[in-house]
Amino acid sequence: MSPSWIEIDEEVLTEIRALATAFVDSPNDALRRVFELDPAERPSCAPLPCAGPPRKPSAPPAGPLPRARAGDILPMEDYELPLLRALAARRGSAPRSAVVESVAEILGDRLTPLDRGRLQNDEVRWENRLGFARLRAIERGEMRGDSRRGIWELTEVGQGRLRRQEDEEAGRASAEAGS
Amino acid sequence: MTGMPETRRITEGDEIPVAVLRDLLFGVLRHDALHDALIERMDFHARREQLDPEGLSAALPEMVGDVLAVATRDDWLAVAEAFVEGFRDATGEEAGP
Repeated sequence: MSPSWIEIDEEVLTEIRALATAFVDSPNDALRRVFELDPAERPSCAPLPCAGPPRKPSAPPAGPLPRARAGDILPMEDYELPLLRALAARRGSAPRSAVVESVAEILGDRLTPLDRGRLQNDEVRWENRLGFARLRAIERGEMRGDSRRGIWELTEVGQGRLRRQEDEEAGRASAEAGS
Repeated sequence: MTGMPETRRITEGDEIPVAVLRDLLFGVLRHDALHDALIERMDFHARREQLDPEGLSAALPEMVGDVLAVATRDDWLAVAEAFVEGFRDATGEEAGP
């Protein structure tokens, strides 16, 4: 039985991924289980994870995905303090993946469904944006630009900004308590 | 649209679907070891209005190769040991010497 290519949206793909074992199951295997069909006699479909149907080299390149509108995603400046806080919580230095984990906890529900969506390269949109937030933090001198590969580090400037922010927040809190 | 997935031939009788191959490349380039360097490179070229997929694609194999090239025999051995341990765990084999 020769396979057929269909187009599905991100939500359906996520559901199929949840049902399948990467590099073992194909989407077809997962869907056969859903429909209570016997396993395919021989594998004929690419296993997960799969970036999408293959494109012929001669095919015109796919256009860029529609960009998220500014109001539909978290603004870049809203990453600044959570990024510095995540680093401070990890003693100023941590692998990128660990920082991503901490920032996710700090941002929580502020990340919109579009932020949590995946880009054409299969990267989560907000994690990609966090990478650019790091670049801007390096430009402001708040993070080191000469760290070892994969390690993100806070500088004195970054620590100073956090301290000032915390002082401001403490001042506001005590003013509110006193009023 | 019907048809078998496009593949790349690795060796005789061993082909990899292009979608699986590209997934590997995405995974490698999203890894902590390369992700920041890739973003920095794109930012560098974007500031000079020279960011384009064609130019970037020419640099990607070297970026991946540079990291693989610094892996020592000890690094590959450490990885191999972990995989062998995983194999033994799966097959119920006793740990070797």
